Amino acid sequence: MLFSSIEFIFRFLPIFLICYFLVPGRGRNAVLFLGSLIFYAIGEPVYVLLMLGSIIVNYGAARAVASCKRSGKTGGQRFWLTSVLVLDLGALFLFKYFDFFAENMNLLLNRELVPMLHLTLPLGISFYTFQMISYVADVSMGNIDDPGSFLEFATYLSMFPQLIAGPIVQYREVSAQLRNRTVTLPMFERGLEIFCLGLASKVLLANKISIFWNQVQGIGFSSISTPVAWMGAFAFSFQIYFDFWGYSLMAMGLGAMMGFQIPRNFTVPYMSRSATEFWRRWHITLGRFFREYVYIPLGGNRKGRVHTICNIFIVWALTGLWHGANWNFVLWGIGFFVLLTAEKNIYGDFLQRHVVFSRLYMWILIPVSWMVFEITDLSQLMIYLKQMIGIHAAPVLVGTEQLLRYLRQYGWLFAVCALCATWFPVRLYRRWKGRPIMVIVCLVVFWLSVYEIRQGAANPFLYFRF
Amino acid sequence: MKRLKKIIKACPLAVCLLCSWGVVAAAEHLPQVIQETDTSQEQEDTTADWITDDTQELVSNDSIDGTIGSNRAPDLSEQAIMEADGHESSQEDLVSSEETNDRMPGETDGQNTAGSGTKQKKIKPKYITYEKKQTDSPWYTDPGKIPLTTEYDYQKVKNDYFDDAVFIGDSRIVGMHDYSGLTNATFFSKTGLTIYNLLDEKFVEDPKTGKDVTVSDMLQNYQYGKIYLMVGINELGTGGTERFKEAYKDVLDKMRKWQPDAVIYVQSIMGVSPKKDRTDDVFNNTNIRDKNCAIANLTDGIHIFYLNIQEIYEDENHALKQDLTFDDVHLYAQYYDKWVKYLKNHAVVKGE
Repeated sequence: MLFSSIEFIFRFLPIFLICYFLVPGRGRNAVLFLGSLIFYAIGEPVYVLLMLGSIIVNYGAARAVASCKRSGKTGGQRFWLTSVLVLDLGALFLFKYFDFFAENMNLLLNRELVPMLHLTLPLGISFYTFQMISYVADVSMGNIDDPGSFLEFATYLSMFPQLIAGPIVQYREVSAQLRNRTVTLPMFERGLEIFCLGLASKVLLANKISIFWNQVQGIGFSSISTPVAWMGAFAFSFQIYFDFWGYSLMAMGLGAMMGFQIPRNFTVPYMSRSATEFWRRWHITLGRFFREYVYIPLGGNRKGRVHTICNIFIVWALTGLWHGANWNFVLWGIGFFVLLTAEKNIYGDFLQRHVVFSRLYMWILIPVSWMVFEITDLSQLMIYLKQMIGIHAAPVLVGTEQLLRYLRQYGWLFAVCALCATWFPVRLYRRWKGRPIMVIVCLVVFWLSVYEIRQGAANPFLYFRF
Repeated sequence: MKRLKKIIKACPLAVCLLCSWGVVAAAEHLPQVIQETDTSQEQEDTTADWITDDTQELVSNDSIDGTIGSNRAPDLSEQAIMEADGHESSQEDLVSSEETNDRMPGETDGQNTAGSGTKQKKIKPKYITYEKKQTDSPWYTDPGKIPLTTEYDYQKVKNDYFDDAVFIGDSRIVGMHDYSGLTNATFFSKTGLTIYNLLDEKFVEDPKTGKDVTVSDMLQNYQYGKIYLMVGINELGTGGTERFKEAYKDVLDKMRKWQPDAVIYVQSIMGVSPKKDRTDDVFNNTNIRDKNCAIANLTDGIHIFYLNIQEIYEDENHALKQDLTFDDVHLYAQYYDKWVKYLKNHAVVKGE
């Protein structure tokens, strides 16, 4: 069930909130846990059992790790930690990476040795596996004093606002709130505001601009001119940002409505002036995960320059792979490794000194990197990148005439998206927060979004009309 | 009361949302009641479609056994038949020339408008048949056959043939307009166009006045030599095949009346990719074939010709080849020129 669906907004959420607030403080974790299971089961009736199993296993392991730690049995602690990591990552590998692995093994060995499993990816497994790992690792490293009760852990992990698409919340961020939280009316109101704005970001910006990117894909990459290729790349850049940012905002909003402080996942990433800065602003909780649980345990930057570069490489190859089981994601991750390393060692200072240059650098880099991310077929990716730099292998069928039409049709949308990708909406929100104007803005964007969703639901081919 | 005031003061957005939700829900409730009675009627309609479709099936089945194509023209349909031969058992290979009693209302066989003075014989399209599958849909039944391009002595023509041609249709025609490079023809095309709104929606700019007018206005005010139609995919889930056929017939009748000298090409509704075919219970190739059979039956080989555009792009199962499309419905831009080439090879040239 998507947050941006009628069922969620008008059925699940109101019913859930009524139940949630009818039950006194202590029972709320149970309501939230049950509600989240229902939420998940609607989308994943079978794999909900996998999630439940994972919760039980991880909680058990965390308790074992904690007790070993307390009694000073480092061997036992290491055993439990390793085995639970193997289990968690094994499940993730099986569901997410096995076919990719099998395909490449077979290709390498040149025979059908490893069978493909064709398993469907359980919803949100990439996110909740990371949360489980962070929890057990934190217990083991001593970052969490008290592993909490089973219900607290289960609630933390399954909590529906962040279950499917993050942010990757750490247990220690919410442990106090899990134990005891109060929701005040202003908190609830802020949460609702943020939810409305997130919804608008997803429905009114991301979904709208996705039409253009779909159109470019429909035309076929070999027939587009260079400006159209850039326009398509920008459209996708906006689409992925407003989609993901919107989802994260909705998660934050929903969390706040229930008394949780869910961490921020984006701080205006497209205004970054280097790739390094970009990754401090884009999907913050993922970057944090890799830093705290991969980079630093590997030794971080304390073991010399070569070792550091090695660690950065591992982090970025894994970051790429986390986004999807395909070579283009690996390429994308390694691309960022190259950029980050080069920025760190060669031209980082230059970027800092030259504002205009660094902005241009990022505004070229961002769309290009998203194309590497989005186009999974490597030969198609090559075609697209060539179109972007103006090497056309086939006749250009979509040139200036269409470009002008697209600009007329989508120009305003691009302008709004560009404006919303700057600091502007954040500053405006800060200024208007809690004022009557905010109420009006939220009301308007909420109903506009609902109208758009309804249009899409009544006519599923709104975005794909023939 | 005091508490309520406190809530309103602290949570104006929540209160406003709740109130507006109430208003919207109330406003929606009323038309819904009316709609419910409407849909129950519509359901009756579709059941009626079922019945007529079934009887039609019986008729066509009879004719399959009865006749085998007589005067074949050496065109692509031969190839399509041969292709079918390779894949299906001999029992299913029958190629039928259908002789049903469908006739255009308001049109008689004796009417001579095609230039020559003599009475012409109607040519109905032939079919490739295949084994029917059981279907469970209010929108279609499996016709068990695919209509082929009308057999006719087509000429090869150059681009200027399309100087006085008009293309009318949905997004597939929009694609042709955008990407085929055919610039001398006229296009009345719009994404989402259906046979039900084709004549009456104002989306064409009148070249003289610059105002938005309907296709119906255009066809009454300007004369064209050729009319190419492709429409029908959007309405696959609106009304059954019989209703679609009635609407299509009505459009063709009007076109014949307004454009007595034009050659009308009914282009097959192009199929969807195997992926879509497998997963969609409305937008699938069986439904499309059912509709294509219906509209192919409206053609006469005198004024109205059926073109099986599908055959340019189809795979061995007569579905749109998967690698020609991104969204399973539309062609990549680079493949539209094949279509134009096909039309150039299948031109009706009259008045010799």
